[in-house]
Amino acid sequence: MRKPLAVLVLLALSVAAAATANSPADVRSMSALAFGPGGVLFVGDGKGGAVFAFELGDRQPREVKEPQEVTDVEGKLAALLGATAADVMVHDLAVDPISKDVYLAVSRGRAAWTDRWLLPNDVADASVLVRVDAAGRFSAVDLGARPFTRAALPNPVDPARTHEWKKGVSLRTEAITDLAFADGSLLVAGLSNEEFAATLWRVPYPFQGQAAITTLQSYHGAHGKYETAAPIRAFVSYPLKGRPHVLAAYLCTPLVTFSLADLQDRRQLRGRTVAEFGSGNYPLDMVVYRKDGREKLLIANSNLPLTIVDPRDIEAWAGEITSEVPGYTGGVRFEARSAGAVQQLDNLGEGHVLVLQRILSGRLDLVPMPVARF
Amino acid sequence: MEELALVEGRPAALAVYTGEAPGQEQPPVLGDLRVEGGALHFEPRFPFVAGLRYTASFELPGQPRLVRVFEVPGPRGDPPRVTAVFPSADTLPENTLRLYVHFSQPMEARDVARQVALFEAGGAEVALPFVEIEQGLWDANQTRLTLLFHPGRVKRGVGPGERLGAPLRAGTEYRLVVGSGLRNRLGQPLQAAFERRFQAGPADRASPRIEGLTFLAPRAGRNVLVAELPEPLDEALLRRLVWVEDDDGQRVAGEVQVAEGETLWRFRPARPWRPGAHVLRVHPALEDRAGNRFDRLFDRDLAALEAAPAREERPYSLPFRVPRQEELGPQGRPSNSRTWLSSSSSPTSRARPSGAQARPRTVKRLGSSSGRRRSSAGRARPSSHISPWRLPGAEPVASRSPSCDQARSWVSWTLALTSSGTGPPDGLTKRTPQFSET
Repeated sequence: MRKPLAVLVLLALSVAAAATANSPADVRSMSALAFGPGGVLFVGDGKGGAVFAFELGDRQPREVKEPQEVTDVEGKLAALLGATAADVMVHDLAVDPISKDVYLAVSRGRAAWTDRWLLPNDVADASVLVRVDAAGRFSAVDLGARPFTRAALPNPVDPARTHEWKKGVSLRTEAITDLAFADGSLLVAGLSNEEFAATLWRVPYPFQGQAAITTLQSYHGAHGKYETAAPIRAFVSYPLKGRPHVLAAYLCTPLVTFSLADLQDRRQLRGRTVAEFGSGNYPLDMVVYRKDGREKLLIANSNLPLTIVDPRDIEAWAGEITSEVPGYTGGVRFEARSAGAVQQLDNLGEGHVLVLQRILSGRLDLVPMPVARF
Repeated sequence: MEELALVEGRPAALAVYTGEAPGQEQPPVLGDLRVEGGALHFEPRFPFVAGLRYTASFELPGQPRLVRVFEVPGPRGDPPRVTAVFPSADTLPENTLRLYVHFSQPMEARDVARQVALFEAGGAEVALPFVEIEQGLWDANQTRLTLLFHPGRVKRGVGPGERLGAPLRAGTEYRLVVGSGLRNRLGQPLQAAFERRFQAGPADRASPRIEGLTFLAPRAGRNVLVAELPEPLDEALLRRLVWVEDDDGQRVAGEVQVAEGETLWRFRPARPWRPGAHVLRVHPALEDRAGNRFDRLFDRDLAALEAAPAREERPYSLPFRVPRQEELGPQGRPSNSRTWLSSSSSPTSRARPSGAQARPRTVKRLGSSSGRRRSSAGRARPSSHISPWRLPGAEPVASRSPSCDQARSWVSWTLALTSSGTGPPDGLTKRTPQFSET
């Protein structure tokens, strides 16, 4: 009788250690979304200063065959939230790599928008996770009913600190700007209270132990200055010369590389600025796609077209931008692709990139773009 | 209370849809179902929006579907209105730098540029009078809109002004119009378009002088400190750049009123005055209506200056003393027997530490205006400040954190399907359900 009891006790302990909690997840703002191993959904909660990993329970693999556009995303979200299309706002998009369902972090706060340089997270806290299935049906995901684990980020930026040029905006809205899973860890970009506010946290997943915090310096060639307060806006993890790197884009719009091996806890790190895409532009999202057996970086921008960079050009160029570039552009070669006003993007299977695009009528659509067109 | 989640497209007996004719694929509005007081309640995750139509649908197996189209009433409070425009005088300098429009409620920022216009009284619209900011320049509460006359047109000898001329011309009458399309945060428009007429007069090209500021020091209790200003000054800056410190250098908490065409600054302390030394501080960045600071003109002839004057960032200090009880005269003494004080014209009086050695100089005021000012200072006048806004009759949703989304409103509104008696939801099948709105 003793042995089964011990097993039961162990079982109970392991359930507790999973920290999945009997109380539902307290996500204060869905600042960023990303999928991880086994289809776990990572949610970056900037206001809460934490990252969550949710089991969505939907593990039915689906092949993408002839993906359809989903038109009027805001109209459909408005129906779900009982509001007008003008009041709903999409903060981030992630495609489940297994089910191919689309997940959107959504708020009903667009009425509070006061300035063209604000980002959705500056305006409202996304509090609803919406799934769009293959048939284009919208439904809210009850995260309170999902098993989860949580990891607190060390020293996220103090909510009392306000943005230098966005009037009245707390810097905490940029505590988490983007997420990506790489090499056994969740990488989290954002702002901390460290001397260099620009920060990359490296949180081992499954969440255990302390997250490492590395603060960043990068050269911004469009205005010719080293910056430490500007957060990474969008990034991916990608191997350069066989070693994992972070390829990160910043406002106005440098592309900077950091070696993952250099992301040491409580250290400052200077990145290598390898390209400048143009001034007055937020890089909004970034993915790696594969076409004809070659992988390329695709970046969505607030004020520039889609931008494509070949990582081999970055590998081939030993240089670094350390002085102001004429015409706001420089460094490695990049190409523009015609697709304006793309706010978010993610891979949709091997053959497509799904983009959230505002078309000329003002409507916001989900458009599957075949990688062949890139 | 039993809670039923209405999420992820699971069928529910009671569902609410946005619009009058929901499509087959349309998801129901996100919200929670619960049984309480013998009724099945639907509480939306976000407040329903006034002016939108919704369809509630209730269906149990083997029962006819019950459908009800409804609309929530608009906010029960008054529609927003313009409560004041500053500067408040009928005639403004032709080089006026800013206009402030105060609203009775927090407003929505969007569409401001399209809703505000300036016309000459003859009818012609003044082209590009203000700095074009799509969402407007609002204070943190979004109750005060700042209209900044294009500085490049107000300032002389600068490109835009050379090409387009100054926005205002002395001798011309103007109409400022705030369109009725401007809405409050609940989406409720202004009651009516607002219009304010004013005349442009000669330009103001002189800095206000601190020597021209006189004030009536308080004597006791919550006596009002009244400062008469050397000329009409910027209403918003007067609330921020003039303050009172006590003997310990601490800012005294209280309420500021700006009155008499922005020529009077009144301060009533939150708590009774502490007897002893105090100081009235005036920051030199305080401006008149034409943007002239105390220490620097907005618009000066650079050729005529040998060097730009240094910017003075230390506040002017005007000391005064609140007497102890035993120093006060007989009770019932009229307040206008207090003494008017002013700064010394000597530069040594500037930025003097609190509780400075020099005693305030008593100034005998001459001229007829002083009597008027004194009497108005002692009179209890209606407050000109905007009272904090509350949504009448509405309660925040207790079970949620509305601040999580800065949605248009915080109104809780519950749709209830009522039945008599209490019990689990299946009890509903035995009775004829009816919709009611609570």
